[in-house]
Amino acid sequence: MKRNVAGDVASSDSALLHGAREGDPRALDELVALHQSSAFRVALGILGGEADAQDAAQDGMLRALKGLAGFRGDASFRTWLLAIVANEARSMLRRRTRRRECPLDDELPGELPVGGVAGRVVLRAEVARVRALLARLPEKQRLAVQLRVDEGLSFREVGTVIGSSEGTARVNYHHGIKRIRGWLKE
Amino acid sequence: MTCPEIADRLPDWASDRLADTESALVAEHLDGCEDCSAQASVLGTLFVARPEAPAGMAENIARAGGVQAHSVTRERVRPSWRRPAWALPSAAVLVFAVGTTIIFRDSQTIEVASAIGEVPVEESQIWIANDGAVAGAPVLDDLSDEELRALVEELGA
Ligand SMILES: [Zn+2]
Repeated sequence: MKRNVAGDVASSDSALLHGAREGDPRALDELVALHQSSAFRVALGILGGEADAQDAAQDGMLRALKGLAGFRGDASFRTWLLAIVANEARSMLRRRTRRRECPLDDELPGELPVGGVAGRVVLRAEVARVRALLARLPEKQRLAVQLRVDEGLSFREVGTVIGSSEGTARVNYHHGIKRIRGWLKE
Repeated sequence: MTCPEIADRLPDWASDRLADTESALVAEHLDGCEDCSAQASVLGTLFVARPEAPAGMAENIARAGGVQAHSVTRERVRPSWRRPAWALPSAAVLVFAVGTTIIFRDSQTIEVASAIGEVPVEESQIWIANDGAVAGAPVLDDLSDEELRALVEELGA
């Protein structure tokens, strides 16, 4: 089954937005359910800590939903929402002075056989490690990779959220991926 | 398609968002291009490991929605280590071909292809650590005693 997240989300969004603007609580709930994980990931990418990310994502989503009248449809609803959440997370970050760094476990059991319980442990460690490397990237690269891969945003939409042009978003994305691949080879 | 054209589309391919015809073109390129293939593996891994919103977040928003925005932070539900926040998405499959190629596709099981055969991996056995302590302690955390014993034996062998 195709995911086609962007298309599906966009079409369901417009119906939900209509309901949400009319104050239909079910439409609001559905919008939240559809976008909460994206909002959380974006906030996590900026703040680095799960509890802070949850706060920023919640506050950002609330702010967006209360300000639905301000959504003019120039961007997709998701892009607009994620830009608001990113702003919320950045202002929280400014109050916190610095991003919470994520400790990395570089000691991977690379020589273990891939099979049995050991294989599963290696697999888990490897998957977690790839994701952890994301946290090492500078913010714009990290967000560009996250928004492009996790959320399926176009480079143009990525640019809207990180506050850059489409071209800069693309460059940030490719640099980010290149660095992660470089670290994986170390 | 050239490698740079493929590279632009790979995130959509790795997360299965491309239309069938375009997906087939990308797959054809990947068959003959080691570099793009390696990149697809990394993207597929990133995608399946993406975190989900912590339990209770939607409820907090709904609760705060009617009242005032500030109340939301006070009613926060702190996610614990093993909350779904870091569980892999449910319809995910990883195929690891010894250390390098990971192909991600929709399905219910996870398979690990290796030199010593294929090992099915239950999704519940794959855990992404909380961002506070990535890839460290929690990796062994949810193994049963029996699995831990088996692991010790494997390592000793
Ligand atoms: Zn290529």
